Amino acid sequence: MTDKAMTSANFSSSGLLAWLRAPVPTSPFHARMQQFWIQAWRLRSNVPALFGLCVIIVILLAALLAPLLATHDIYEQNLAMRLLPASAEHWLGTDELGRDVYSRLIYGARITLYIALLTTVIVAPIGLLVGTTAGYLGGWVDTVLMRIVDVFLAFPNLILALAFVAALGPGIQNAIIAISLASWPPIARLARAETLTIRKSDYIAAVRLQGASSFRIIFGHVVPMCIPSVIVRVTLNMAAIILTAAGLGFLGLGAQPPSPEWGTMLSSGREFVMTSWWIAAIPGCAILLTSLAFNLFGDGLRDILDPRHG
Amino acid sequence: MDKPLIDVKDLRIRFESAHGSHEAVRGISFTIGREKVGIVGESGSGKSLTGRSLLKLTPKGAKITAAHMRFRGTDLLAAGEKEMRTIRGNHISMILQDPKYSLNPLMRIGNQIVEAYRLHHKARPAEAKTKALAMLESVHIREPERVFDLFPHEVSGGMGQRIMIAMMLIPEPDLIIADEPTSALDVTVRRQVLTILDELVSRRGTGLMFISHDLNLVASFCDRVLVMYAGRIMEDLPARDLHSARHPYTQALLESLPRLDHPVDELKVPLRDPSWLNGSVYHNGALI
Amino acid sequence: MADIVHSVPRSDAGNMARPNPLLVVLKVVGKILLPVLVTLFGLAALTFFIGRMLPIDPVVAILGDNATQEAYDNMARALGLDKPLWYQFGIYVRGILSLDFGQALTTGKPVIEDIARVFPATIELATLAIIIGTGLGIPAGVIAAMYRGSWIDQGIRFVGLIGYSAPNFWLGLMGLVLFYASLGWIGGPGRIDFIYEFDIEPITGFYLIDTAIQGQWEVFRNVFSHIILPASILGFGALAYISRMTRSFMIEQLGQEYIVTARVKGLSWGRTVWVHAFRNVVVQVMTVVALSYAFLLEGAVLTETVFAWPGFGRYLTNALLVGDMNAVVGCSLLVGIIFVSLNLLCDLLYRVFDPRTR
Repeated sequence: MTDKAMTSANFSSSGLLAWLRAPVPTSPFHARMQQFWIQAWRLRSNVPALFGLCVIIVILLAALLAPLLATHDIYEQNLAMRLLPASAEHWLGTDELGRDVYSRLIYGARITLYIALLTTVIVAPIGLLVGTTAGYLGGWVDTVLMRIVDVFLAFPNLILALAFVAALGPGIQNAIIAISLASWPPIARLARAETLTIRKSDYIAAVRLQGASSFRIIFGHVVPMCIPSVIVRVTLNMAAIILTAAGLGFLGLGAQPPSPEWGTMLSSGREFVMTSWWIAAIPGCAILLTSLAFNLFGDGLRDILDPRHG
Repeated sequence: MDKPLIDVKDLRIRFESAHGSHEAVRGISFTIGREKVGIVGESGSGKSLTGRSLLKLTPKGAKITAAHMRFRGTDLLAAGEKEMRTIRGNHISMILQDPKYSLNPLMRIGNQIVEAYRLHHKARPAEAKTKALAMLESVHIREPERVFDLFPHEVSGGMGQRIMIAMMLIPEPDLIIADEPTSALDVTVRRQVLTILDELVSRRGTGLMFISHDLNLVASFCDRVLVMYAGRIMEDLPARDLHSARHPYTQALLESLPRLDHPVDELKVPLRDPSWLNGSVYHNGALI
Repeated sequence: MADIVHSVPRSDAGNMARPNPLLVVLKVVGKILLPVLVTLFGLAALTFFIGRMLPIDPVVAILGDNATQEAYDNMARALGLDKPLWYQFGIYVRGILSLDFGQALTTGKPVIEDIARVFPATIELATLAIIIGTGLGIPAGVIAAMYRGSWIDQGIRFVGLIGYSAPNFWLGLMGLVLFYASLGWIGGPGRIDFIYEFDIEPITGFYLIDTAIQGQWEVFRNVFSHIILPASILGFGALAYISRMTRSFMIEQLGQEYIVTARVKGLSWGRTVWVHAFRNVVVQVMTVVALSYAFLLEGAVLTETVFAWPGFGRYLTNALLVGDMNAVVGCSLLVGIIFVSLNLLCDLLYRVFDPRTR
């Protein structure tokens, strides 16, 4: 315990490093921190994953600092200046209503990340809950829950989201709900598969013999074991969510104009794309880069958290 | 005895990785003629790697160097992939450990044996099938016709290993490397398989390199024994002289084996002396 | 020497009576089909629910805003909207079983007729896309696994990653800008140039086949120039998925012991990979291809919008935007059924082709 007390009071560089590299951990917290450190170290050698992480951070910063980074008002129309290519005044040109593409791109990052993160925050707990409960309790609970999951899985992601958005009405909030409804089943399936494996372990049997209730077992033991693979899956999913959200925007069912969502920008720029290709090319590149970044980072996470793959 | 089949001097196998390099085999030298040579060692001693290096089928990242590594006249080190392919199967063969995994699960047994033959002999399919059936009979498989059409998961372990032996001996190689051939088998079946192997090897005068962790087995089966530890050969001596082994590691191994004629209350656990890592080794009872 | 042959246990061991083969078949069918039927039922319920949630009033859609109350009530009764929900669901299910999805608002024709009209366009596109995706994707995956770690592997993985991460509607747009507007190498949106539109005799509905059968090579070339870009873009997505999965499966196989055995026998690396390892992944790859076909339906929705392709995806999107309840429900159900059937197919493929599961 003195180790922990020491380092909590003294986070000098050498102290922290020495603590992380100690050959024998002194507490569960210490062990977990050491594991993080090893995993972070392994991530370092994975260049594509690091690239993905950097891009994610850049986009995150762009989203957070949008008001500072934008050069023009994103809603201000200036029809005299429409469809201009890149220039010193407008770094990435203007769109069909004379708005600055660069600034709209930056603000669009906000929407994209908002949708991706909010969906993930909704989907991960629900998927985990349903999956672990179904997997652990088995029996008719499992059958019923999995039938429901199967029904949702019987639709391609986009079509299900489309259907829900059409039913609920267009808009960002409804798009988020629709995408969430389409995204939780795979997480539930994954959690259930993991739970089935964990359920057979000896340590679960031991805890059960000690009298732990199912509730306690599921939340105290099973769920923590599922978290790594769910994290990986969810990160990779973000790429798919971003693509789906952009698709919805493109079809006019997501964020509505004049919102600077990237898919919506693509849709409104579509008519003019043959002559002013940048108004479609640029938001598309942004979508590609973001999605790519999450894919790369997710792959890297999978390599460290589950070295069986790759 | 004529020239040795295998003549290796100062073989080193090194692995390069992100964490630095590691030498798994650290300068071993040995010869194998038309005899049965056993290589004994614990996990990590480098014995399997040694076998694979002769066929140049080591895992990716392994670098093989040696003063020389020869099979009859051929320099194995310098041999290119094409040349190695004429040697593999044809002149040097290898029996792997577990037939559950070492046979292609989706290919009929007969076809796998026929493939081994037709790789090195121009033969029409019917001819090759006849040969394969004859080979299955020679490893004492009754009903070879029926087994020919079976899939590997449909036969028992002992039978699978016999099939492996048949497959590896059908091209009539000069040397067989047996990498733990009986370790995955039930104890009752081991003797059977070894007897068949012995029969075939003696009949054709094939050399045998028997890799195992079981000193007892090797001692009773082979003519000569090489004891490996930590990537080096600690001792090299005829099997019949094992009881007078000089190296402390060999002696410790012998002492840790249970014996019916010398019952003891407690079996000795070999204590590893760090001086063995780079210390002296023995050949035929003499220090080198 | 005793020869203990451990063969597959035969059912007439000893004096036990043979199990009734009919019962066995029923049991197997039941085991596989019953969950599928339950899922389909749930699907019907889900699509029905979605349909009922659509914000557009179907009566108003048909009669317009100025209908009298009486006309409104009459129409509502005709559509069955005055009955309780479960009753409506019952009518709905009955309709499905007789392939009656009701009438589409937009066209006034039965939905099933509309679907039959637009489906061939999508199938043609999807099939060509799958051929591209599989023809390139499987070899790419195998080669990437064969030369794992090399720059070939990295290159293939990178291309696959782009296919995974790029929005396909954007690729379509950019493709049109480059290959159609700038270079003029291919035809533009739509299945065919207007001038040829009446030259086609729709026999199968698949323009490529129809024109080839008739020997109308000029029209064929035109059709091809229109389909090649959307099919390639869709195929690119399929290729990314297929090559990635194939590579993964192959790597798993190449780590197995029987690969070493093959090389010990003297087989070259190429032959080892294609003759020994590949046959062990064929079933898995087939299931991946079947699943990709299903994903193509998803991709088709967006691609058809970009390329103004008169297919199923565009029909569905329109129906959703307009609030055509019957069309939406019918289309969604159809998509669900296709998906479920493909999954079932995959399951069956495993059972048939892998001797270990028999």
